[in-house]
Amino acid sequence: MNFYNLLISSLRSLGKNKFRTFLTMLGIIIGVASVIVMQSIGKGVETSIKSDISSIGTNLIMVTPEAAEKNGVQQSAGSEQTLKIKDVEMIKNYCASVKYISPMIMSSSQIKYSSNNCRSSVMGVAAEYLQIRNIDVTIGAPFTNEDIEKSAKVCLIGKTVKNNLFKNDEDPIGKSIRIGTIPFTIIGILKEKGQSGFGQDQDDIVIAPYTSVQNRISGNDYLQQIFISAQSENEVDKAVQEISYCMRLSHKLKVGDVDDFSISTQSEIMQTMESVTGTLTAFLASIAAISLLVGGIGIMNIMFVSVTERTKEIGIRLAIGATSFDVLMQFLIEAIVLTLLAGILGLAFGFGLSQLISFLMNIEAVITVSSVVLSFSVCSFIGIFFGWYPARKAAKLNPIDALRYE
Amino acid sequence: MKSKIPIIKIIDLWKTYITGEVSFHALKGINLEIYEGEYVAIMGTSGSGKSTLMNILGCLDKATKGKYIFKDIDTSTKTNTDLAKVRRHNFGFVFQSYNLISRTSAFENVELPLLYGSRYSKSKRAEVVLKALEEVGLSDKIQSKPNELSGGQQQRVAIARSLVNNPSIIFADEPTGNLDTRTSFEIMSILQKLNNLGSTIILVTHENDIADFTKRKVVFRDGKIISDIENQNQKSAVEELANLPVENEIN
Repeated sequence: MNFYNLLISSLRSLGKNKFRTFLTMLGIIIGVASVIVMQSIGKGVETSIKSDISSIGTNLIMVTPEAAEKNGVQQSAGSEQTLKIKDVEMIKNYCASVKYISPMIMSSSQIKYSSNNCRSSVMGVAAEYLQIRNIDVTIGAPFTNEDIEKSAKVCLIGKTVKNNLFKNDEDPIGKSIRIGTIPFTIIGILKEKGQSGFGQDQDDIVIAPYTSVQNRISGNDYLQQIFISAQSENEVDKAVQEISYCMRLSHKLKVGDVDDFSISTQSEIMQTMESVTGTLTAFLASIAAISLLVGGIGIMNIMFVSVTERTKEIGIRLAIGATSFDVLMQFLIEAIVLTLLAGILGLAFGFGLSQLISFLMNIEAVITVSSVVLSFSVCSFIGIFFGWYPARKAAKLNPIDALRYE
Repeated sequence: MKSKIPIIKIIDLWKTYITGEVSFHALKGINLEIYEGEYVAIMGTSGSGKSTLMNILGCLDKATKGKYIFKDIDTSTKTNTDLAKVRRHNFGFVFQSYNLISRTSAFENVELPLLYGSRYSKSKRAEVVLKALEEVGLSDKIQSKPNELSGGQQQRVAIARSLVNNPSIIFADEPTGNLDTRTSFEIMSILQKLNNLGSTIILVTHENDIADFTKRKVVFRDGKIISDIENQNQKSAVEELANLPVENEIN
């Protein structure tokens, strides 16, 4: 019997028990659909986190001092007070792969305006920081290099700070607020950024020239971090090498001395993130795979029922000249057709469901070719694997026993 | 006719069924030769071994001991797949319980043997199937499913199916067992016609009336042949059918 006739005959025999066929397929349909949904949602979350990270800037490089050690007690990372403005100058002058560079000093201060006050992070940075971190100023203008030279008492405030200090839609531009006791003039409002991927409110911030923060608020000359952006994403590795060299030079480290600073890049964070979401996706997919397995067992069960039910038919086919291979193929193809049909339905169902979820949960559902290929090949495998045993049972029947079966 | 080489030759054939520690000899050393064009009735009461013999002759079952040579093939040396191919090209079967595939049209049932191992094109297959159905007088029931046909019609579909691959031998196992007299005679007249056209037919029956339509009667008892005689006065099924009293049919 050729393949076409086998296919037609298996479709027909599946069609004879439409409801049973559907119920049998349901296991696989649900399995495939869940593989697709899990994969697409997992990928969607990954993509959204990725775009979060690249909004920070994919060519971002951060330099932090290493943890200090006081009398043998290890302090927290970044506690060493070794990062100075001369390091920034050094990198700026000698590292060709660096596009923007900005020192960063962070302190937490009480902010006051008329009768309102709040506690916020005050960040002292260079003007280039806004470019490095892709921060836009919506109202007003950012501060300039001149402001930095003059340690000007100007600042930019985030949305949360604005809402805390200015009630009744008062225009904050040009108003003077007190950071600690020092008056600063607001020259701009930062574009709303919302929560970061880690749950921090990125709008609860005041940004001022680093010179102003050093000279007027913190009163010391060390930096907490240096923010750098490389010329391009591809030059990040090169820039890291250059920065490392410059920093060792600037800190007069000898060959063999351990770095007293650390350099981290977004791509490292990205990698970590990818591995986390990858694990998540794999976890979800493995749950889906279990339901595929259960579906496969359902197929095997129903194929056994089908073989028993049609023992007489098998006997007839054997009597009129079917070989046991013909019978084997008949039932195997039936099982494969059943699973593939279920696979296609599951695919369509999964596609629809992931679109729905992405619509409801506002996550972009990404259906990858690999997940489609995967679930399809798993389906075919299940069809062959779980169809084989019942089909073999059918093929091994003795013609006369099968004919006499009632 | 006897001068030719037999199409079937069996030598000292035994069939033993073993259930637990009890063994039962269904056939006890049978010797038989059947020639092309013969119409043989294998007779006997139930349990006499006649069906067992037919199953072995049809390569549906294997003998425990002895030789069965079909044409020049020693079947005892063949694998199951080889035997399936022997059946496919040489045998047609008609069973007591028709054995049609349910929920499948008459046409498809008859076409089935052609789907296994035949190289006919679809149109050629249709031609052969229609010819076989015409031969048994069912040209108007091509698309009917078995459950829409009467017993006699189903048996005629089965005969058409057994004819379609142009077999050397047609095996009919109690083909009239489930049918009334009139329908039985109809079926027998078809078989007789086929034999007259040259088909070799081996018919298993326990009814003498039915065996009267054949040319040779082989009688079994307890696994042995007790008589093997030519039927000198073969009856014509068509004539007998005409002689049946007309039934009072309700219009």
